[in-house]
Formats: sequence, structure tokens, C-alpha cells
Amino acid sequence: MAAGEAFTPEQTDRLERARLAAQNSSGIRFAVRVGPLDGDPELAAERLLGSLADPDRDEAVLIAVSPGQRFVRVVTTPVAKKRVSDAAAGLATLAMTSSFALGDLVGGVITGLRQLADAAGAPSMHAATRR
Amino acid sequence: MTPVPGTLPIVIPRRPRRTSRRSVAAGGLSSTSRSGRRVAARRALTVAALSLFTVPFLAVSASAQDVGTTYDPDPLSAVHAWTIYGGTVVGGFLLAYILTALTSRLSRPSRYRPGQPWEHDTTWIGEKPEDLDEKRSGAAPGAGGASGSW
Repeated sequence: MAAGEAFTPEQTDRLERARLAAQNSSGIRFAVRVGPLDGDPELAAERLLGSLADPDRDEAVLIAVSPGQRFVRVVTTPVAKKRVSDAAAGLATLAMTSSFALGDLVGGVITGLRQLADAAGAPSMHAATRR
Repeated sequence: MTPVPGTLPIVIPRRPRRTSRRSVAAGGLSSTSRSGRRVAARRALTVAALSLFTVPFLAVSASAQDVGTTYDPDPLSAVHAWTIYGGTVVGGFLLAYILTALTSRLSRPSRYRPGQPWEHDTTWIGEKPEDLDEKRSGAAPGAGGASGSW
């Protein structure tokens, strides 16, 4: 594959719109990273999330995709974990890997973002449930 | 649904898309690729038929024995005429095809295929850690989530 940008501007735009939609509907901060993960990929993904958000305060979710290693990791901060359970993250991961196996990286990430946002629900709804 | 006077669909009624019975039976995606193949085959046949009639017509003057003076070169043989006139057309098409294929391949990133090495730059959708004012480091203790591979 040629070096350089992984996605066309249109693909990047689609991904950004999906991320913003997930963020707006759930109130959780989403980030997607596509690229190699050094060392232990799970730990590397957790470190990346730790550098993005405050684990004790922020509701944040990172989707780290490493196409070269054929690995994807959804990491949630402890606060976000209350809304996006590990089971929901697992289901989103399964949906993403199904698309990735067919070579559809963009479609897989968009599906994952939608599923994670659906699992989290609206922020107000979650606050009402907690009460 | 009752039509509302003055709305655009009333002024310009929408014509139903014409589809053949075969394409309807075959389904959306496959019918598109089939019709694409049909169009390509029709174009190829048109070019072949045109060149079949045009090349001999153009070659007549070149092949004529009684035309020319001592200063003119010898008349072309049929093989030479076919090579020059037909080869030019076919060569032009080939050149156009190669140029189109090359430019389309170079202008966009190649599609990801599982199993191939990933040699693209790392891409972030959303905030990057470098963009944040407050620098943080280290793993998030108690983080949740899930992993998968394909």
C-alpha cells in the first residue's frame, strides 16, 4: 500500500460526522485513532486514552484500530464505563471486526461509533436512570 | 396521498425509472455491474465495427497501384495499412486506458486489504493528545472496553 494519508477527504469527513453525531447524542467524548500500536496494543490504547482524558472526571471513549496488526481496541474511562459497559464495547468491537475483515475500515468505525453511542444513550436519560 | 395543488410533483410529475425485467429480477447491485458490462461490450463492438469499415476505406487510396509518381513512396500493403490506421486507433485507446488507470490509482489511497502491511500515517479522528493544552500521560486505571481482531 502506498504511504501517506490513509483516508480520502470524503472518508475523513464521514468519520468526523459520525464521531460528532455519537458525541452529541451521548455526551461522551469520542476519539478514533487508526495506526500502529507500539508494544502491548491493549496497554498502548489505554495509555492513549489516558493522554486524552482525565480518567477520574471525563467521560471518554477511544477506538484504536491497528490495521497492520489486525487489532481493534475500544477503551472507556472508568466514568464512561458506567454508561458503555464492557459487553456493549464487545458488541461494537464485533461489529467493527466484521467490517474490517471485508476491508471496510470506514464503515466499520462508523458502525462502532453508532453502536457505542446507542449503548450509552442520551446524557439526560442516563442522569435520570442514576437518580 | 391527496395531491396538493401548486407543489412541484404536481407541476412536473415524476417519471418512473425505466428498468428492464431482467435487471429487476437480478437485484440492485448486480444489475448495475451487469449493465456496466453491457455498456462496455456495446462500446467495444461499436469501435470494432467502425474500425472494420473505416480502415479499409482509408486504406483504399494508400493501396491504389496507379496513384503516385516516382517521387512518391510505394503504395502501402494491406498489412501496413491495417497496422498504421488500426494500430493508431487501438494504440490511442490503450494509451488513454493506461493513463486513466494510472491517474485514478495515484489520486486516491488504495483500499485496505486485510493481511497487507499498513504503511499509512497515523490518523486521528477527533482530538489528538498533541492538540490538548493540558498534557497527560499514563494508562487510565480502571478503564474498561473490549478488544478484537480479524
